[in-house]
Amino acid sequence: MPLSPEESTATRRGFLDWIIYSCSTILGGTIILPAVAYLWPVTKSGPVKVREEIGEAANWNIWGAKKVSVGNKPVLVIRTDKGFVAFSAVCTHLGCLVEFNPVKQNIICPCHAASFDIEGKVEGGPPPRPLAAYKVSEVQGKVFVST
Amino acid sequence: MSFKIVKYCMLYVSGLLTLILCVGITWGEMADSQKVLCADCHDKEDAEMAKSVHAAAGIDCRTCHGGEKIYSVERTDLESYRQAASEPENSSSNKIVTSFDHGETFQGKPLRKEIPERCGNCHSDVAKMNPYGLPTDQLAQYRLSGHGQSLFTKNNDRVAVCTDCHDTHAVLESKDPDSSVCPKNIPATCERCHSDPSIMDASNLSIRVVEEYIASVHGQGLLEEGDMGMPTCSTCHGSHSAIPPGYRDVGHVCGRCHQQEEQYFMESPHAKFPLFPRCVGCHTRSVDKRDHLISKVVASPEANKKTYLAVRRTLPDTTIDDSTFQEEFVIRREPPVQHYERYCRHCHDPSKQVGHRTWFAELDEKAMQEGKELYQLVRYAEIGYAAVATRVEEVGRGIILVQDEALMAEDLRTKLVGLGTMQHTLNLENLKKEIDEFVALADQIDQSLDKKLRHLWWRHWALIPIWAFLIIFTIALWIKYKRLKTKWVTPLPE
Amino acid sequence: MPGRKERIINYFNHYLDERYNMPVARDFIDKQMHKRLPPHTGWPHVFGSLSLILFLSQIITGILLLIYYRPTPEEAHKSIQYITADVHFGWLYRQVHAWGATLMILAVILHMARTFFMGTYKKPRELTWVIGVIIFIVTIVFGFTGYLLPWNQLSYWATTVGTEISGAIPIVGPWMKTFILGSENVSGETLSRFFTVHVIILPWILFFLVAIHLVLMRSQNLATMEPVGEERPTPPECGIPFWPVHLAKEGCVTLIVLGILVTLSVLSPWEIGEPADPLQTPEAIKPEWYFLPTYQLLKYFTGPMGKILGIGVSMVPFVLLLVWPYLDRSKPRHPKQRPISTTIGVAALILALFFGVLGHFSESHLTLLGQTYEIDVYGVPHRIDRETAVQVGEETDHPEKGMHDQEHRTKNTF
Repeated sequence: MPLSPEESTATRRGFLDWIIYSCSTILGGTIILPAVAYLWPVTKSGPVKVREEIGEAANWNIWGAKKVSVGNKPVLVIRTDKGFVAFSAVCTHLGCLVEFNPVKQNIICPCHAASFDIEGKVEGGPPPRPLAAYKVSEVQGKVFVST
Repeated sequence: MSFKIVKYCMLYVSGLLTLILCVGITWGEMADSQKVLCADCHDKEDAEMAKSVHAAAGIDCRTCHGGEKIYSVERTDLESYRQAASEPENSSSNKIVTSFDHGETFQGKPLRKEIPERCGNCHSDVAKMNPYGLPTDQLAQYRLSGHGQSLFTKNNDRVAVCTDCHDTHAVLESKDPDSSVCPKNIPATCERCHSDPSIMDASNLSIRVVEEYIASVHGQGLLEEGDMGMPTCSTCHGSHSAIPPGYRDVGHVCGRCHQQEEQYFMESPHAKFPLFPRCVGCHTRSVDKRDHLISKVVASPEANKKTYLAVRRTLPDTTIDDSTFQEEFVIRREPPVQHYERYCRHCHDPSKQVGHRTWFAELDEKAMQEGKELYQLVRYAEIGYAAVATRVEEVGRGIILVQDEALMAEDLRTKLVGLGTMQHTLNLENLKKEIDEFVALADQIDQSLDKKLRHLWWRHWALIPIWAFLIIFTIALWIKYKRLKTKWVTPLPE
Repeated sequence: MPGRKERIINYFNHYLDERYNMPVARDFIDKQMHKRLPPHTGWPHVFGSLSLILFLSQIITGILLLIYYRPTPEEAHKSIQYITADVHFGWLYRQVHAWGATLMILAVILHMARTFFMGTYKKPRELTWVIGVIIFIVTIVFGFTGYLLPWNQLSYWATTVGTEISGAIPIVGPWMKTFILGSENVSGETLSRFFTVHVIILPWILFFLVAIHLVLMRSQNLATMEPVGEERPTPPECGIPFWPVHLAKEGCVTLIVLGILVTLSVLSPWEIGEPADPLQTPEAIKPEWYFLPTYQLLKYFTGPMGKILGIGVSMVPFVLLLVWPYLDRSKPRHPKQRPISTTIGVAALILALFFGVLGHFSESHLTLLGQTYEIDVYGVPHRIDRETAVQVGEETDHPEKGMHDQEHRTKNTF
């Protein structure tokens, strides 16, 4: 049954209004939802890391070492028999990354065979300064490095 | 009572007599002689001596020259003596005429040959030196040195003795920046003799060593950049036992600082040849053992990054794998690269293949080939690190975080610096393995960045549905606007 | 029987009616909503409401950014990184805020140009114009203070150079500079000050200014193009009702601008940049485009007296804008009927554009038709061709030039 002109105009108008209403709803949704997502806390970590969790003490062997990034800086964390120590992993000679040598229990730089003792002091090789030390703390079985 | 008077009188008379005697003697003395100190005549030497570390330790002229502290000198002669003392270098010939008797213990000015032992009197005495914490083996070392050998066995006194380097009277501590033996002043001190042909020719020594040293990486570091850790002449040659190290020893001397390089070099095939000139074989302009111009070859990874950026700006359409890019990089590298052709050809020169050397023609070819590969590997690593590290920086400056990639780039940097030392093994197999690891790490960084950047793509694609939606919405609203306008607004009467 | 919806509405109406004089309020709202705008209200008129919409967008995105942003030198840059990289949609809000600022200033400028050329600032709407000019200045200060907050190299050094200018004002200059910065140079104190001004002081100032601006606009209605005093009232049925007709049109424009905003944010994002380093000046720091004409103009005034003169000259456009309705008291509104005003307006726009372009290209290299040009501090291009370079150098080389160059450089490197 064909629609009368008034009826067809009314249907078209109804369709247009329907489009406008649904579009408005979608727009409102797309504006509000990201805002809610934005406010939803990112539980990973805050904007500025003064302290970084680097693992559980229980899973860490004595004389085990790990290289981690704390505040964009490479840090070498070692568990000694007296507890945790952390040093800047950047060799003071030419900026290579140092490694822990579990055999001799010292820190070595692979580039120019420099070695540092477990307190970060230069034992041998060309580095002019000791490695900068970081603070390590153990809280409830978790290890944190502070910058 | 009278006894008492007599006693007073006698005392009085004797006092008077003493007074007269004293006045008389003094009068007489003043008439024809005067008491003088060394400084009264040798004022120049005394002024120099006053600055010295010896004066501060309470040592005076007599320690080295003997003689008395105070002299009585005929007044009439004093002026002429003074004049004679102030005239340099002629006093020895006219000694008798221009001077007076300085006493039995006086030793005078020592001959050049006598100087080392004169200084050794104290400086070899452990009891005297211990309070100052000074070593006592300088004289013993000096005897072994080139200077000492020449002086004592060849009787040649045109060699350096103590006073030539330490100054005669103004002896300063080596930490004093004015001292001629302060590390930064040592090249100039040695140069005084070692650039003088009249002295060097006799021993057939090069007069250009200091000049070359000053132009070298060590000289530039010490004198231009003020790096006190840089070796000066005495660091390699020894100070008192100054002697040029032989071919076999060069490695050890350099290896005192370049430890890892020496260790790696000892693994290389070259180390097996006794006549191979060790470090200087490659690190100087020629195999001349006297060449002190050890030029700077290591470019810091940071400097390479700058070079890389400059090349990328000039050749924006090429990648680092293109040979044009690599050539441009080598041209612009700061400091310039020493081309393998240049130093390998020092020895592996086919044109030198005469006589039994022709047996090794094949070896020369192989050596040049390996040299080329080695050279290209290290260049590739340098450019590769610069490219990856620059990319990490640039991406990080944009809108994503690259903390992990930056840490990996630090590892890559370590590998690059390690390669620089490792190439001294000339072990192409090992180096290729290292390079493979290097490239794998570089690829890992690149892929990680790609992945992060790919995540940005959905943002771009999302624009299509967003615009589609907005256009539909806008058109719908526009139609609505037109309809509302015709419904609500009456056109203006003309 | 009324449905649940009607019942709830009725309940609230009843609640309000019992307590307030609701008919008056309803009448007022109704009148405002259906108020008819003059029939000639066309496309140029959207820039005003566009500025308002962008202002609202800035408030919303600004509040969202404020949740994660930390205004200290140690944390500012890192928190921006965090917002951009970690927070859900954080990148979007930061980009929309940054691009929104740029578009807002553009919208305000276009709105002012429309008002100027249509002569609508004339009697009785002079005060609306004056407040509008103040809004423009506040918007620019908004841009300047917000630019420092990411605490990256560009923002740090642009702020250093920008505040240097105030130091050249005689007597009070150095004091003023220290007052603005909170210390001798750009530091944590400056960041705190700029932050406070940007997020508390200016938003409220702008809020009240905009409110007054809108009230004045609504109460006097939009101007027509007839000369002052000869306005003919239009028949009410010919006017465009604010709701729903005009708002439908505004809606179309808003949607398009929203699209442009998102597109710019995605395709041309503002970079995080390197953290501010007070010890290292980056090369050729340039301010944002809306400061470029002033920045370029100031370069031509050198020496101690020149600086003051330069500040004076660059203040002239703002002073002129503020007092313009009182300078131009002529009757006609149509741009063709007041050629002098129109010429001055067009000339000012062209000059601003000219200095802006010069500022944009100064101290850079430009390759045009295969020729590379080096453009100096004053925006004069020199072709890089050894012979010509020397010639051009000789022609423009007067004794003071070298001095100016050097002084400018020291200013930049601070």
